[in-house]
Amino acid sequence: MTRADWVLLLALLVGLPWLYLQVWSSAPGQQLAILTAEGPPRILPLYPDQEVRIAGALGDSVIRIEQGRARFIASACSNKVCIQRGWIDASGESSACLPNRVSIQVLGRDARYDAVNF
Amino acid sequence: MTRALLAGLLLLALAGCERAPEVHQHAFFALGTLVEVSVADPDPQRASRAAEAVEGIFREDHQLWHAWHPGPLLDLNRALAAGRGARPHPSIHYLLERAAPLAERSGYRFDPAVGGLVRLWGFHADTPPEGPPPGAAALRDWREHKPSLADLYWDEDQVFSRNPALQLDFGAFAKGYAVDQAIARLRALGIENAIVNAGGDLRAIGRRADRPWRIGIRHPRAPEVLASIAIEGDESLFTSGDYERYFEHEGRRYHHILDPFSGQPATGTTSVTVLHTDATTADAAATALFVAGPEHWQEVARSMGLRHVLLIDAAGVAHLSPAMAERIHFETDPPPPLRLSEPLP
Repeated sequence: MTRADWVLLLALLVGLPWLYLQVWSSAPGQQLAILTAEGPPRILPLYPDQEVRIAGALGDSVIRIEQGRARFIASACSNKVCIQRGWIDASGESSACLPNRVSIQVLGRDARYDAVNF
Repeated sequence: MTRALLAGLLLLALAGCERAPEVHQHAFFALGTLVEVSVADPDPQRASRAAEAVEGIFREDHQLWHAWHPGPLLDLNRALAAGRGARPHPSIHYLLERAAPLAERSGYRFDPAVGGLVRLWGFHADTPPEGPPPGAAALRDWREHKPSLADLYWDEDQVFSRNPALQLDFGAFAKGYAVDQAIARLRALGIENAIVNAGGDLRAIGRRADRPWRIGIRHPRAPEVLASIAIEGDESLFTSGDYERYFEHEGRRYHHILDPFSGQPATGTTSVTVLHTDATTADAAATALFVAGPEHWQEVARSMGLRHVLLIDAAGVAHLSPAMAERIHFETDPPPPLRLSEPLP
């Protein structure tokens, strides 16, 4: 071991934890992506609470954001499958109103599932 | 010893620099559903271009194969109804070539010749039908004419129908074929790790950098994930469920997976999940096994060359092939009652 080796060893011991913290723990705050048939998705924070009215293919869909979760509370469709789906909060979870072509998805760093089959 | 420690720490330092590649996500509406493309690639620009190319494929297919909007399929159906021959659009020609052996091997439980029946039930509309269901006379009429893909014949590049009631509808496997096209395009663009998910039916290739792709299978009766499966390499996972498109009339639910023989929504099953290499086969098979039901799904699975099948029956029992049992992990506590089938070859 030369003197340079010892300097390198010291630098690694101090620097490694810092490097891992910097690179791996940069999880962004959770967000909601709202997709419609037209245009790019709209990204909203899941805080603070709010209600958003989105124009869809048939009419308006209303999405409520509350305490870090989101759901459809009204939609211009007949089945209301989107409203029955209830709250979504986990990263990667989504809820869609297909007739009205409006979909919402929770964005986050590590989703439990990369895709959901249904 | 100290040198080995130093080398190890250096390796860790290098690993610390390598952030797992971001998965590029792109979503859009096409073929009556939400399509999501996930691409794991070190080059974000290539990932984004590739995902947009997939959107282009789906948009084109949407227009070419639409069963009730003006386009090549509607033109072909008009010609067949009038007893004329027609030269189908090349992509429809190819769909027909792929559909014929799948329909035959499914015992015509999967049959794209059911367009007339789908329309009769009101599912040829941009919004779900409100009922009422078709009357007994209309359904009897359907069963008497009972068109099937076997009624089509070719004279060079022109297709004719022996049965004027035959109307084509590719709803039961167009998504599968589009997903296969999309994966082929992604590969041609140099993408090796991706998922193309068309309304919950998907094909996944490669892996998500640090681990295999994790896919959840939605519970047919609750807003939760019933089971999960890890995919690495190249596999398609397709589910047909009675909860996807349906209407309720006088307290009864009528769903969109129609049994071509009875003319009614198929009974006895709530969902079927098929894992198979190509998405086109998986899509057609999920429909065929749903129609076959808990009593007959195994014979249809054998005839269609499937090994991995999960069927949830109307009582909530999970019927599964041994190969599927090895791959699937139930996420509910307790898991559903399980019934293991004989091995599928």
